[in-house]
Amino acid sequence: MTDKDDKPTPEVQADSEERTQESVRSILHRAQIRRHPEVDLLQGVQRRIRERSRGRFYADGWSRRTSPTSTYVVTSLLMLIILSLVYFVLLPGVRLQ
Amino acid sequence: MSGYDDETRFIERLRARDERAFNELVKQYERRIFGLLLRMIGRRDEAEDLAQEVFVQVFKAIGTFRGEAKLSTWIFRIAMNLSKNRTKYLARRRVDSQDHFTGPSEEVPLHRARNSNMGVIDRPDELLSGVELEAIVERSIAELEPEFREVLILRDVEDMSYEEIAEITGLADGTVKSRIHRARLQLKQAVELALGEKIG
Repeated sequence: MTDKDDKPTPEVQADSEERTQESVRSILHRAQIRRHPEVDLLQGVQRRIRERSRGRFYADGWSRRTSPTSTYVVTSLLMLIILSLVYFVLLPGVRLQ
Repeated sequence: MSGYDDETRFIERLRARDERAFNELVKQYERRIFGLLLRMIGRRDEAEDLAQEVFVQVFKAIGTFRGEAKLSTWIFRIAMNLSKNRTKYLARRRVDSQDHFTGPSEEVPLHRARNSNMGVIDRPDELLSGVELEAIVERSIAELEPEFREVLILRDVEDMSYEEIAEITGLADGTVKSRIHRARLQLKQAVELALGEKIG
């Protein structure tokens, strides 16, 4: 028998590759390897960019972290409450009827 | 609005150095990039440091992104290049890598069945708890040679196409395919040795 006779045909080789792929994917799935580890990089990334840009980016607290929208809303409501208090309490001419 | 248009608009915001867009980008990719680097480097502290560096590089270089590849592919290419540089640096410092996978694989009794005559069962992994199996597989991935490990992670963990992997690694399509196959064979063999059984 020659080396040529021992060589698998392309079909056999493709079948073998497919079986290997199935086995490996199955074991990766069972081991839950696709799960990505928990991590929070945002603060560190923002700090590095702020330092390296010498404060050009992420310079103020408003731009840091995610979703500053809630901060805007809370601050706006707080200001409204304070202004209302000032208006109704400090101005003697204004009284609720 | 198509996904393509969404990505184009998002990239425009990134190019304009929109900090909120960049925050979104970090949140969107941080776990995938960190997971990739953790498996490539094997040390959590180094992987976290490097993952942060990846996003800093993305922020710096986003102006040069031409949109010829997908944004994700471009980010992964940066991550892979930084990972290779860091691995060389750590090797020079003789830092003992792969120290974070301290799973219970050594405690698995089947591990002692190495070099014995192997039987074949369909699902040997079902005999182990998920945590034990995860530790065995993670360790086996960590023990692969880096050039095999990178393509295996990109294909079988990140589910990327051969074309995307070729773009990230700079390898020819044929080389990518053959490396993935060899990586799978090596991984299968390593897991079988650890389990003491052939995987069906």
